[in-house]
Amino acid sequence: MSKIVYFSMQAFRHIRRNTVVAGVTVGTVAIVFLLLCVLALVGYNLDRLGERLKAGLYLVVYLEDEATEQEIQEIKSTLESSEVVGSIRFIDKKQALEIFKKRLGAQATLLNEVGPDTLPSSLEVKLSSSEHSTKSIEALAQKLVSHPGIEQVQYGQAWLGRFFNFMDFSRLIALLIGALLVFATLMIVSNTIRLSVYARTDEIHILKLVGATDNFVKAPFYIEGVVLGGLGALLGIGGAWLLFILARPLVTIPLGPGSGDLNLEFLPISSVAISAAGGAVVGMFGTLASLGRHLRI
Amino acid sequence: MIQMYHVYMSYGSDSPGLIDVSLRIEKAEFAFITGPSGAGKTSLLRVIMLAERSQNGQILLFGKNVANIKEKERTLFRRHMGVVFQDFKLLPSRTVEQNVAISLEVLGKGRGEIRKKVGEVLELVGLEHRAHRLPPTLSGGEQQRVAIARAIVNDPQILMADEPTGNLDQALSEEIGVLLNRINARGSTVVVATHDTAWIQRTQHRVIHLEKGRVVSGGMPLG
Repeated sequence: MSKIVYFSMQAFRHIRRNTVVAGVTVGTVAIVFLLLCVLALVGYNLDRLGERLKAGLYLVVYLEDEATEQEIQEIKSTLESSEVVGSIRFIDKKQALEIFKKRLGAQATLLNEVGPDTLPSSLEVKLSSSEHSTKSIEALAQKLVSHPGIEQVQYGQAWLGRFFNFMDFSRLIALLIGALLVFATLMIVSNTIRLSVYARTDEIHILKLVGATDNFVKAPFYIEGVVLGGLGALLGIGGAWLLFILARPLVTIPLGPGSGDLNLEFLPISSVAISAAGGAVVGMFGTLASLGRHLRI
Repeated sequence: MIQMYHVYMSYGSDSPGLIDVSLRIEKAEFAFITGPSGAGKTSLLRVIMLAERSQNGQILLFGKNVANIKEKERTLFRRHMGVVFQDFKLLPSRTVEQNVAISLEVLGKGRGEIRKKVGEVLELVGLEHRAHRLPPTLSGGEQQRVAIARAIVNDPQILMADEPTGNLDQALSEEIGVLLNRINARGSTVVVATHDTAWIQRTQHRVIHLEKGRVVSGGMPLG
């Protein structure tokens, strides 16, 4: 019989004999991982929201009515020299009104009495990539604002910078909470294994007497820790998946005209696999923390 | 087989276990260790089975000095020794054959070999018909025979027994005595710590007498 099969059989024998303790441990680890997954899920979807908002971000440079052709060319040159800028589209007063009417949809009749010169002409600037930070976009806007011929520069949602600051802060808090939860899991598994070791003091004593090495004695406990941690993590992830299924129809974030809606997405499979493996690893370290001084005969 | 020279061992300053113990037990010898309670019989066995470290002196097992060897090496030495206790130390939730098999499982033996050897040794101790029973359903004598089977299943060169008849009546004690003689006759060195003077008197084996942690007689083989 291969050693791994023997150790696994011993580990499952331990678990079977202590189903209540093992069950409570798996349940508690599952709750901890459920909380971790919910945190990760919220963080992941907020990240997606941030990316979508960034992707839809653009600059609008409103031109003065008196702006000369030369000034407009200079503005264009300034824009083209910036790596932030992807494309530039000139929108004259007439086009601006048409676009506005389109956005108003059925209520466009409100603009029937409005003359074609009401709205300013503008340059609509799309970004070269969503990877640019809001700071570099803000810097470009600041550079343009004093340019002759420009009435105003708007760079989409100026609040996006605050949103990303909030995201960075939230990420830090989530990391701290996550670390605390992982530590709690470690303690839970560690205590369970310690109970398991106490319950089998005689068995350990006998094994040592007949010449078992420390690793031989410890291996089933490690497998027990890995199984309890891994199983708890899987159940927690499963619980998070159920919550996600329930919450998905209820949470839809509209991103505004032309950008569609943002629907909730579950964590990528790689994150799920890492979480499950994380449970097993935490179980292993919990076991490591509880073994050692109990192995003397 | 077992040689000790000026061995000291204590459990703390107030509790000396062994004081200046020197003795020699030959290969395939049967030796009793006796003495009053607290004389150091169990301490002596625990030092020989490498469950305790001596503070001073030299201990040679199978010709190798083991006084200062590392824990892992001690474990490997233990595989050449079998130990039997007064309270049997059987696992109550494992069957007789599973209890006996433990000694072979730690050696990484295959399932077929384990089944064969466990069967043979249970036959030797007369318990082949009890292989699938749990220890608590057996008599004291039968449980002690299971413990002996577990101790000898890996063919140890030394079999040690700490008060193996302490919990048994006269008839069962004699039965265990006969069994240990039979194991000794197969070539194993047998060392028994006991209070049982009747048993000692029934045999011609050497008696190592301890008092207050010191060997007072019988430390060296006769002749």
